[in-house]
Amino acid sequence: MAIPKQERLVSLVMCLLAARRYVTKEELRQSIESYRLCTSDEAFDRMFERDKDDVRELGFIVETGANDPLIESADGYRIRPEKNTLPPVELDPEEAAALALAAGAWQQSALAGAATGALYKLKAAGVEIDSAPLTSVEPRVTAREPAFGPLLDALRTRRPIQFAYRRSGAAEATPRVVEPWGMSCWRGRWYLVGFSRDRQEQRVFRLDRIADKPKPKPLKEAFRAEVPEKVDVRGQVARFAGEGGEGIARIRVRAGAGFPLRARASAVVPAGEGWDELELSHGHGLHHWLAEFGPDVVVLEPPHLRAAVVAQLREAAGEATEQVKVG
Amino acid sequence: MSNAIDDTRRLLSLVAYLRERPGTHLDDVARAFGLPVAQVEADLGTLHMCGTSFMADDLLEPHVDFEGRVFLDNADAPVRPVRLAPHEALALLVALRALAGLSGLRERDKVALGRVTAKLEDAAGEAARAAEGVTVEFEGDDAAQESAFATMDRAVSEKRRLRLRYYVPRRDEITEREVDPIRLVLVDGHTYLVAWCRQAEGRRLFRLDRVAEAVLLDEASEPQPVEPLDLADGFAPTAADGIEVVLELGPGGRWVTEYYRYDKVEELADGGLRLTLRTPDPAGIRRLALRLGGHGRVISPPELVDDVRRTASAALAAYADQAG
Repeated sequence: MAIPKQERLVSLVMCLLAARRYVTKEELRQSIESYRLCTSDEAFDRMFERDKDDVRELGFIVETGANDPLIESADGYRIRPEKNTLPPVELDPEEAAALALAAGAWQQSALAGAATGALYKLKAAGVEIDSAPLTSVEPRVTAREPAFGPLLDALRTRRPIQFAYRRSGAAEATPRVVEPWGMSCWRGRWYLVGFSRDRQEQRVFRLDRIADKPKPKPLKEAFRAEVPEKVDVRGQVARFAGEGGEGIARIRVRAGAGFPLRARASAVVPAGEGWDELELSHGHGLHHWLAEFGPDVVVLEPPHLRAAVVAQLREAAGEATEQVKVG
Repeated sequence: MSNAIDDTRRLLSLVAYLRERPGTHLDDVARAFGLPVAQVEADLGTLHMCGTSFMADDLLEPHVDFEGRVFLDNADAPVRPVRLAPHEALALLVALRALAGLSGLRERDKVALGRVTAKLEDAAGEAARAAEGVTVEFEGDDAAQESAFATMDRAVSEKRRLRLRYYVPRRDEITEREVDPIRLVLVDGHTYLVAWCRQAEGRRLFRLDRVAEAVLLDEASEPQPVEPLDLADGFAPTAADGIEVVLELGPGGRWVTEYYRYDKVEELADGGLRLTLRTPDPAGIRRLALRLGGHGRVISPPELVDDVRRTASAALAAYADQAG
């Protein structure tokens, strides 16, 4: 039976932590059973390289160097305990409960392991998590998109990334190269904001429209565009999704109908004969939503919005003429 | 969803914990880590095979004495609680900041969230920078619903019944009902109250932005026992039964596949799609067809095709009546 990988990783970490000097790869190969059992140098090299990456993902700083300053080749490794220890953290019960709530938000997402792992580290440091009276709300962040992990890595390491992107309404995906600036989850969907090298400007991408596994560019390739001092990821995403006002719309809504419109309206006044008049700030795409309410909503102003809704309804009624461009 | 990295994090944390606290009872170790006792026992078994053997043939020697106290002998390697990795710091900090941004949260909770965020930023050091540029908004349109959120939060904590005025989009009307709250969940950008509806006599989800009014009642919440909800896929409704609907979508209507569950999808020559789905709620599809306008239409069933046309014609008549 193969030796479980976690056994190998724990041993590797302990070896590197215990060493008061650089430990050579050959010494590690002799010390850790899984490595000793490797039948070829290539198999050992591959396994060892992967393990080093994993140990770094666990949060360790693995230093490379040689014990003899006269030797130039740095084929030794060590983890200095003093540089890898969590500083003391003291939390009161409410703070600890808040932390558990935050970690729980990621369960069933790509960061579930990282969130739980962070809690384990804090618990090992003596943080006690009991139930304390806090909000009853249970937050959940979903990150189902396969592009999530690679993009997060590219963002952290500031590397341009390449992926196939299917624009809204397009059947086929096309290749893009993006310098990632920020990511935001908004209304349950993840968005990437960055500099598009193809369009030479700032763009927003929806992660669920990325059609392949994004590939980071080599580490040495730097960003070409200057990253703005403050990237308003949230604002960019909101505008991309049609939020944010382009103007004020005046509409009539049948009394008792259209609650979601009323909830967003800046003013509601009775207009007589079973109608109310509402004022709504509108972004692009409002005409689609208003058409949904059928005979219970009539747009008064602005004229282009009214025309757009009428055109939309004509299409639905089967009186289609030509497509009206919404201004 | 266990993998070697997650296991390694847990094992190293156990070693760090036990080196500092030799003789902790097995039950207390399990409680501290929120793990089943059997998992801790299995982990101690794994640790038996780990160690710094190159130095002096040293493997860890975990053992549990007759009183159930756990000791970790031969743990000479200076394993301490490990600094947070960037992804770990990011996960906690992004979620904490998102939580603190919830409107309707009690002031006390907000303050506690602020304190723990600051402490965690300090403890994470350099790793905290990974969270820069990553944000989560738990609420979409719900931000205006501050008082309804606060009332529902209180109802769940205090286990009290609620009276709701609740909007039903399918009928485009407000309904009144009394509900026994079970949980309050934030998922996919919305806040949902999971509650036993006394009128419908079943468990229902109430979306915060559709709550017109929430009133806390004096009666205790007494929900019927029901299977817990699986939140793995958010709250996308499953519609195994209901009527079969066929839609033809133009390129501008392809987004429908991102928001609706469907049984079958075929590419059309013009870059559009033919979509087959089942729904218990044909009125919802009528609304979708009106929203789509020229970007899609219902192909079958014929009654629904007629329904969409009639509704759209009635709407156009209203425009004829009300000059702009």
